[in-house]
Amino acid sequence: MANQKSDVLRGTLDLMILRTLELTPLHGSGLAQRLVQVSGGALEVGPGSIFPALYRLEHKGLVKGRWGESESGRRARFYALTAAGRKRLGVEKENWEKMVLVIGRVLS
Amino acid sequence: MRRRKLDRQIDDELAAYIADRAEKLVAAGVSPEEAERRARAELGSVAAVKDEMLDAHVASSWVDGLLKDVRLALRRLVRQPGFTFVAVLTLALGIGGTSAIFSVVKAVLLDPLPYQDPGRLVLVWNELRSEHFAGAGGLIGLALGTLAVDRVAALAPPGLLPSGGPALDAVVVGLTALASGLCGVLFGVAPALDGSRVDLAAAMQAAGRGGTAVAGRRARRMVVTVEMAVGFVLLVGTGLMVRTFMAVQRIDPGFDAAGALSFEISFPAARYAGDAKKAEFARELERELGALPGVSAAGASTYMPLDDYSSWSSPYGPPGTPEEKKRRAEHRPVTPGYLKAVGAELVRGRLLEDADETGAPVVVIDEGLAAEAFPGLDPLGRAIEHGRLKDGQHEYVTSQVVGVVRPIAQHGLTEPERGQIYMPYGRSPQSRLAVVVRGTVDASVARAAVASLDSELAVAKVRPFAFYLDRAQRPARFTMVLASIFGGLALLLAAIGIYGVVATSVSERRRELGVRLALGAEPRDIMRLVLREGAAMALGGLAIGAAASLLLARLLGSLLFGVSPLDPATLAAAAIVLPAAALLASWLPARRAARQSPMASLRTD
Repeated sequence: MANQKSDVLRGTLDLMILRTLELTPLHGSGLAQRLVQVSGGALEVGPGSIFPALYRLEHKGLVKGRWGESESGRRARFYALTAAGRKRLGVEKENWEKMVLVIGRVLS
Repeated sequence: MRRRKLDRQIDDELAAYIADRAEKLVAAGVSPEEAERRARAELGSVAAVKDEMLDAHVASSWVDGLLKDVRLALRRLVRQPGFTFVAVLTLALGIGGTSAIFSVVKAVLLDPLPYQDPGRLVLVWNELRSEHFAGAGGLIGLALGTLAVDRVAALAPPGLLPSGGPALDAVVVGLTALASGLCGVLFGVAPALDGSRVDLAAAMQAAGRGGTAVAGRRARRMVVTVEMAVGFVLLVGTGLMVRTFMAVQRIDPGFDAAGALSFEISFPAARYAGDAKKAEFARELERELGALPGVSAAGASTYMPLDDYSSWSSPYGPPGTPEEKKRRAEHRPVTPGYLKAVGAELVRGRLLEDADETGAPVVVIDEGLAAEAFPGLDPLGRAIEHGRLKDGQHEYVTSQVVGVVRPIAQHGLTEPERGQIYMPYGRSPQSRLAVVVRGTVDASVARAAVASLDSELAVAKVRPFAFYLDRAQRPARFTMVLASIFGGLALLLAAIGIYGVVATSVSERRRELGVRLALGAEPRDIMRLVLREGAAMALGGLAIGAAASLLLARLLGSLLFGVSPLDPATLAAAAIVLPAAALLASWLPARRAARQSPMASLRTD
């Protein structure tokens, strides 16, 4: 079942995760780091939010986790976008852009 | 199976994450312990994150949602045994108490006849009024306790309960379960609705910064304040009942209940036809019993004092009083030794003697009759015209008053009674004897004494004479014990409520309190801060409860004896006990808050 539209914050995090994983599969720790990097340090999403979000997305079939070896040689679970995830990302991106446009118009 | 696997996977993943993160921090120059601590702190509560991850994996259909909630609730309950214990205890007290009281009420009022004595229903209704008062509190989950039904039943006045007595049956259990369920849903849905209205942004802020949900706290405080108020009212009720019981216990029944044996005899009409035969038997029985070793006095009347019989009164007055101007008194035929055997207190003159059975007619009266018939005069030697039974027929006789005794309670301890005229048994014999033997005497010995005079006579109700006074005191004791149970439970639940709210607020404010400590607040200040919250609820409840008590006091009037519904001592005691319990309940979380290390509280989250 899709998240409610009002659930903006959660939806936003999901969107950002999907977008980040679109580029390359990542494990939880790497994903957190990447979000910090990409946002130029403006965004600090703790692992306490990231892991539940990943599991939520995995349950919806948008991402798929697989055990692998991290760059430091540790066992870690890597998450990759599924086909459904890729499709969903497209839809969400479009929605987001529409919303930004609308909000921008309202605010300007 | 799937769940176990998922569970392990999450554990693995989180452990790997923490190890990985710590390693990176060490690489950045942080000490290993500090790195591990910081990695965990970033993650927050591992248990909470894990819960969320598990929940994310459960499909969100209606049923699944419910299951998810139940699972979440169970996980939390297992993780917080203290909270679970308090919650279960509160429920158990409520359910147990409700079942017990409902069992009694059902046995008394709702189950079909036969009652042992329908006349007692009036009494029952009076008692129920106090139960409503307390029972209503019980049904909304406050005042009741896990007491065994039998224990309550054992205290009930005789005749109150049908012979089977109350028992937990299917109806009781079913209705109680229904009531508990409804209460559970009612009180469960309110916070849930509250929860669904949570402002996301605010909640996120709160989670991040250790803030508090103010509205929820206010609601909790209100509930506890009401609990305190109800507790206060019940405590006052309990206090009044205890005082009533003490007053009833102190009432002088006019006889000495201890140290005597009693039994009853009915004369078979065929063999004891005339007055002479009955009078002779009574005389011989008194002589026989009085001669037994260890017996100091023996005698008989027609009924035991405080036994449950209807009063038989007839007119009396100074000789020559016209019939319509006569007052009524109870006429009691007693053998010469009777008043001594029951331990009556002689105030003036003398008691009856053997010679009075035959000589000039004399009577002993009680102070009540003396005051009514001869106000301001010395009753000794004065004549009164009164009734007697001669061979079963009522007739008037004029007797001289030879003695005055303190009134003996005949029908109840707290109601005013008619004046008594004690006349020699031989002058007004009846078909029954209520025998009292003072001293240490075995029931079998007393039976043998009766059998030696007439071996076919049935001896009934052989029991300690104290039985009758004890039974008369029971309604007050029963009410007192019920009130004490309600009062005690109300106090306990109010204390649990305060403890719960204060403890919750302490854990919610852990960060704030930690900051205060870190900024130099003394543990003493923290304790004062926390205790103040408990005190505010206690005082609010106290004020409401006191006002309610003043309003409700009148309802209790009919149950009270020897104490005013607005008894200052009782109100004062409740006003001390309740805040004391509240203070004690706030003390534990307050101490915990004051003892926390400021650093520890800043780290969590």
